[in-house]
Amino acid sequence: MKLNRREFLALTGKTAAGSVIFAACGLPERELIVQSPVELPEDLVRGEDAWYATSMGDFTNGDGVLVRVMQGRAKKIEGNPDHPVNRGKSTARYDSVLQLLYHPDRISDPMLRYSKAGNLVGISWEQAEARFQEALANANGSLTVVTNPLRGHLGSVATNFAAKYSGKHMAFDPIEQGVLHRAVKSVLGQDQLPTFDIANANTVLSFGADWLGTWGSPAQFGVKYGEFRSQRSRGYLIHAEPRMSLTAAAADLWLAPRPGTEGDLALGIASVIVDEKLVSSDNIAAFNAALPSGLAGYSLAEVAARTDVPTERIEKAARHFAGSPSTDDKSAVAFGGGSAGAHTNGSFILGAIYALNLLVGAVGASGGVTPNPGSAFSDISASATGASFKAWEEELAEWRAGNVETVIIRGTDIVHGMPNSVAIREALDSVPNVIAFGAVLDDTMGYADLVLPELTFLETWGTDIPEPGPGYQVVGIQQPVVGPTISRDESGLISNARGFGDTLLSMAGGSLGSSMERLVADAVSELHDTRQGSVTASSSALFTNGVLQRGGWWDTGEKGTSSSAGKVSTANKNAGYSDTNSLGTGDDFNLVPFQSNSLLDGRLASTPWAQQTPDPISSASWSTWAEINSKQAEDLGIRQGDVLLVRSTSGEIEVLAYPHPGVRPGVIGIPIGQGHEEGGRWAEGRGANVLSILVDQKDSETGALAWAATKVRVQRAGRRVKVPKFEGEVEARPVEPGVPVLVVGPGETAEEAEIANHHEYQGSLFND
Amino acid sequence: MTSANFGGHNWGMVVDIDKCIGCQACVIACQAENNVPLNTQDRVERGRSISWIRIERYWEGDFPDTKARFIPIMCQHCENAPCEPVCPVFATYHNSEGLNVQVYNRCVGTRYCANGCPYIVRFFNYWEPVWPETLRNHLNPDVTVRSRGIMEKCSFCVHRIRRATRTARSQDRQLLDGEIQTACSSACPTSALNFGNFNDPNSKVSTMRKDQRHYTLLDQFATEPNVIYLAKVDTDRKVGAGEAASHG
Amino acid sequence: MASDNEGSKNKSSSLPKLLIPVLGIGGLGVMAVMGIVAAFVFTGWLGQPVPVLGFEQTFDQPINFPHTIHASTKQLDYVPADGLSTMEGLGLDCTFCHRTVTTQANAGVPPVAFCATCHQAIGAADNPELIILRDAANLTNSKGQSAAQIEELLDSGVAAEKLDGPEPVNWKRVHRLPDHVRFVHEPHIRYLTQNPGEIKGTTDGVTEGAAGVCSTCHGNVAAMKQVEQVEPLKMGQCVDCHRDNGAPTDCVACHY
Repeated sequence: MKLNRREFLALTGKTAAGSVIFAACGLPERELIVQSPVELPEDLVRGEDAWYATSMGDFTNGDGVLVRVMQGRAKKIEGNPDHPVNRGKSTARYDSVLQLLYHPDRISDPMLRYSKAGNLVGISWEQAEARFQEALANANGSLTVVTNPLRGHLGSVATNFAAKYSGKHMAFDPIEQGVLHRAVKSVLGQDQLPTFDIANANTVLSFGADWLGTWGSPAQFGVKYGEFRSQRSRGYLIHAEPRMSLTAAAADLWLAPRPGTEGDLALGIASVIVDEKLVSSDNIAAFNAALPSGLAGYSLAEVAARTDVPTERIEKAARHFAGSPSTDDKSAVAFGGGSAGAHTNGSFILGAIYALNLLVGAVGASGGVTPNPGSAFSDISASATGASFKAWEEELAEWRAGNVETVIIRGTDIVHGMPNSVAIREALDSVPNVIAFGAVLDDTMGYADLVLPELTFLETWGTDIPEPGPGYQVVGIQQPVVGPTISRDESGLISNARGFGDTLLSMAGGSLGSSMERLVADAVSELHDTRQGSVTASSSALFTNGVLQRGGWWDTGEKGTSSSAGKVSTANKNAGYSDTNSLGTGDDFNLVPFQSNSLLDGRLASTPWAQQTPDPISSASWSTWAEINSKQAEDLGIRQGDVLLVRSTSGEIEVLAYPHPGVRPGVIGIPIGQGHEEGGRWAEGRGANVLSILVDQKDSETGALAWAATKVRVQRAGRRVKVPKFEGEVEARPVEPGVPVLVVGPGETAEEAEIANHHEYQGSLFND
Repeated sequence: MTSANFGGHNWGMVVDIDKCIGCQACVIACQAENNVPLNTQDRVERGRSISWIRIERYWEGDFPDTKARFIPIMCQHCENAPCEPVCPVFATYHNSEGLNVQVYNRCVGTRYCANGCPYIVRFFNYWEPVWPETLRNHLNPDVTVRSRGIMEKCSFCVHRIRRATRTARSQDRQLLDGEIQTACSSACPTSALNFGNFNDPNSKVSTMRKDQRHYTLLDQFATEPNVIYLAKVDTDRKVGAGEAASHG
Repeated sequence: MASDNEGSKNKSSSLPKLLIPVLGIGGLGVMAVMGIVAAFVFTGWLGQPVPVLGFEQTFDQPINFPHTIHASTKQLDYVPADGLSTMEGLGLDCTFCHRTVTTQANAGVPPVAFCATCHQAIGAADNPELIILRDAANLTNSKGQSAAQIEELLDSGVAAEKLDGPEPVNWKRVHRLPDHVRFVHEPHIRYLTQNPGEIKGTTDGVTEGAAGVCSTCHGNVAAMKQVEQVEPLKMGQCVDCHRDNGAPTDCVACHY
């Protein structure tokens, strides 16, 4: 009889955690304080918590985080207040990584598929290593290492490894940034992505890039946005995007141009400024130099017609951007990316957008574009981007032709991320040795011959150079904050995983370095030798401690420079779209995919927190929905929850309709990140993968996938289901009927606004 | 007679809606910090998901003049809380630090408080909270895991308040302004959420609440919340439009 | 009258006679069960745990660790496994092993490596408890053979068990509070240290030093061969003491 009061009352669903063995991972001794394993909830003895600083490379663009560790378990991830990129702040993605670390479906041991048609069977690391070596020996030059765009030392290890075996290293990013890098390079003359001094800008003009949600460095930009809004004269934000993203929702002026006409819109704004001479003639000259073909064809009326943005809105945007004559401080900044650059004329669009900075003299100015410096290490690049889609098509043709013997994949789900048109599955089937690393099974591993369990960034060493950085040199240091996840209790958490970097180093026989830890230590001592930066210490050991405690090293003196003598690419000014003629019945829409706020491109789809996070705009979770304009939906007879068949020439997916007023008519917005074949209990078979139906159109300059240039035909499937969403769950309790959130005008007090609202409401009652 | 009193604090929050971008960082930070059960698809569809802090999104206007308004809503820790007098077992009460406290071990699950709360920020555990074995590793040992059949709600991260108070007391000093951050306010990238002590006239929140944009939710109910909102600024709004309108 | 009695007798005798003792004994049994349940609930809710009915106050530990040898200042009243019959306790302070008790929430159980600091040298090689400890600390294998001995055995062709890495000891927790209670040692130790007058006298009458402070709630652990819970540690006890000493009695001081 084991019933007692605690068990009637506490009933807490055992919060038990098992014992951890720290063998040789070098964790501080204070973590060993409570070593006793715990079997009942009340046994979770509370030790003192330790906060370790590390760098979050794989899920952010280099944010510094603090991880709360108790009894060897990571409990919480928060921003690192010392880190210059995110300055102690978070995004909605941080904590989900904990669930990847402790995922119940985490791969515990290496797995091998003996034949392409067979199942994965567990093997030992010794066997896996032998198989790996065999694959390397067989490769004989025909080896490809595929990763996500890797910054820091891990990237150089992957590149050096590929080089050692005469293979190549290719990065894959489903949301290609190649056009952006190219435009920044060609117009602003910068090798690294610059950052934007949003905090000190009077006006921010952005196109397509959801920089408050998922684009670039959202935590960094979010902090700056907070300052932008708290300055004495509140900044003015203009955002152009066909669908209302987080950034569009935060904007003071939202412009919704036709997809693919963002470049026209930018030049329309420029032509207003030039025509009305709102800026100095020097600036106009600089702008004209970057745009040799001139503004002919971009008059206000022409642009308004092409973009379908009313003239008065374009003029308003132009006047704000050029700065009102009354204020001395005219700082403004323009930037773009995301769906704006994902068109067949992407290079032109982004070039035109970044050229706007020349018009207001924003490059290098306060409140403008802040260039980032090069890398602090001679052998590590400060910039990383995926290979272009064109390069991938060529590469996959080689795979299909049987010219590639061994492929090593890490950190990117190419099966999920590639459009149907490239036939990625057949390509993988033609490669004799597909070796995939990962923590939880993903779609690519479903086609891999050898699956190797990989340690997460919380368990491994590494460095990270944030991109975009804060405008000066930053090196984030990633250290293991928890030991190997092994427990002997009923949780069965045994992940016999190894780091990707360490595995490559050991497979290469030590010629590229003995371990990631060693490489990081060498890098740190290289930083120490500069005698500069945020940590000063007399000895190398003290310096290392300082760097690890702060989560990295930064040198505010080492700033970026720019040589803005570039030109806007004008080779292809008009966007092309895919064809829909052969797609049967339905209505045509421009497909605008967007990164999910919590799942990103699907990297976090396996975690329940990321799945349950309501989308900021639709409040939907656990599913794939499609956003269409509510008026248009009404006309087409589409109601919320209707199952829609979305067809392109590449394929068809089923999504749930979610009409709302924040989408341009004729545009259908679908979140990326769901529709996984594998991915553990929470991701598998959930929703639909919009990336699969993208059509293989490319930016004409860079060969990047034009992922926003697909036209689709949408048809109702005739079924209707409930959209799993938070909206409608609680009753709105408005300030006044019809006023759910109190809004004041500039200079108005809350009380005045409340009175005004009240009068308006009373008026409406009596006038009816 | 002892140094062990907590007094002198009135914890509260100032939420600047003008800075809220609706990014959900606070929502997930709270889930992780407070051992809130997983909101599975089934629970979301039944409208029984638990989220101590939520972001409501409202639409205004039609395309192309659409505006999306975000407002984060958590327990308002009312000084005059409608949930408190209705509890038959005194499981919820107001303490001397301005916190509306939920005592889990007293709660018998009548749900009267949830009916009484006009802000709908109290949540009932319809199910025993279950995590897969491995995910229990990330549970926060500072926070009780609530069982089936009892109410839960935002606690203003009282465990963080206790921890910081204890540290300050053992170092024989006063708490500093900003020393305590709730999980949500510490996550909020734009600093829309600000936590602090209203009893200290120089604290950040005391300064912020003097802003002319300050208002409280549902002030017609006289609940006197400890969460102060600063109104959203919209440059398109015509100031004084209502002044001219007739009262009829 | 008589006939009425007769009648009732007749009626009752219409039941099979066998049933009467069965019902009687059954009824008594039910009563007894109810009584036991009532006592169980009553003691469970209000009283001190009683050793019967599943309320253990003490556990057999994986290593039979004697607090007497380590903490007592007196001569032991028993002969330890490898000690002298006149052995005296070492008189170690509680905080020698429970290092975090004065600064943190939990007292802290020392890691096995900490025990091994002394016990790699101290204690007989064949002491069965120390063999478990040394095995856990990876000093010997489970037969108590050291690395050097294992080497020798292997060299001589005898199969020997290897050292298999350090492992934590699965100590059983004796003093438990329910999960909805947040007890923090640090302020309690500090208060009692500063106010020795509030220290409750224990059986041994230790009233000063860390041992005196700790004994207020834990009893005279130094005299226990196997640690047991001597105080009820129910909420009533906590609240009484808090009230007596002007400590907060706000619910949220402990429950959150």
